Amino acid sequence: MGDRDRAGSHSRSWAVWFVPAVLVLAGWAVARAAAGPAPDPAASQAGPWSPYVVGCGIGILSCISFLISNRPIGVSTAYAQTSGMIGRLVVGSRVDRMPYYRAVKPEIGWEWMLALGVLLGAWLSAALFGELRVEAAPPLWVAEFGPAAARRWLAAAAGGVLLGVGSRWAGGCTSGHGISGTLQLVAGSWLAVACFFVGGVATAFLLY
Amino acid sequence: MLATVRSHKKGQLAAGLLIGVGFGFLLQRGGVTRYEVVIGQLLLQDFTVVKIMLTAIVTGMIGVHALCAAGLATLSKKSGSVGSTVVGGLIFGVGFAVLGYCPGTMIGAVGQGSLDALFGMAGMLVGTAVYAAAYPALSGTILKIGDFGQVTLPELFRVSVWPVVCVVGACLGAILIAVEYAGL
Repeated sequence: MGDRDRAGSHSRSWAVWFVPAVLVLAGWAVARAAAGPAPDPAASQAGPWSPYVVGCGIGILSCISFLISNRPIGVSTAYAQTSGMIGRLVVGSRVDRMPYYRAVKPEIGWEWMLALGVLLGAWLSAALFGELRVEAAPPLWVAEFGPAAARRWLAAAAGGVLLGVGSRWAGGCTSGHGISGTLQLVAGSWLAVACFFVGGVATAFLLY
Repeated sequence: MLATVRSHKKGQLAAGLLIGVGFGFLLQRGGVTRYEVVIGQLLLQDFTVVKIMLTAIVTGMIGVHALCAAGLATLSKKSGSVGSTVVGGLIFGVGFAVLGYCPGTMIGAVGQGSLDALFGMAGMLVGTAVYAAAYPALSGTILKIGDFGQVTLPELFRVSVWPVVCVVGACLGAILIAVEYAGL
């Protein structure tokens, strides 16, 4: 009981700085959108890094993660933690009695901080390399399905629901199974990543 | 020393945050936080995603198994079954192509300003809640079909770890060379 109380006040103290941070980010996004496109597009043509450099970096990061935290990198758990915390706000402690949320505790844990870090890291990279721009829908989508942002947002949300169900059903996503599980030579993770791509390639060819 | 670091709760949360920052930075630098790059991979036109994943697997596989051999880390294996891994994996794949991001890269996409990824994140939160609600019905039935536990490739083929590391490394290296040679 004491533990639960401490965990509760702990997550509230995180919210004290996390919510303003999100608001600042959102404010920045609106300001950028209002200001129009970046003034010097030529400066933003730095392009991506070599995929081999990036891959090596992620591999080394996985080793650091195992060394410091003895944990594999995986992102989808954070979504389950978050949906549980949101659920607790809506229906209260009933969430904590659900078998799934007994196994995956709805709290600000290591995985949740990792996911927050991904947001900050990608923002940092985009800001440093002039790729920070507010975009309602990706150009390829617009070319194929038209400029209506609402249509893209609806499709994105539907895709997200499937990713949420699928990643929890399979026990991991492209990072937890696709990189961390495979590099540990777990047979099930190799099978999972094969299924991710079979389902993904088949669907992409149907859509495009 | 390691035990102290690993049992320090706030330090671990900070470590998770910093590792995430590095991961997000690299994903954005690699271009895989872009819808076009992910869809290009699923249409088999742009192999950036595969190149990053396979390079990360080879590097991490060697490093993590070396850490384990030195007694500095232990593997953290997910168990699986045909009913969970294959069915869940295929559902994931469909969502992967419809959204055009995966769970990690969509967070990175939000960080670079792609608003559609924000809707993907909202959808994914709903999806995990739906799964949590359905879990009691699934756990005793479909998730149990074809259970194979936490078996690793070395255990499956009854060989020691390092020969498998060498063979997998060589195979993935050959795939990367073939992809490069094909100009993809």
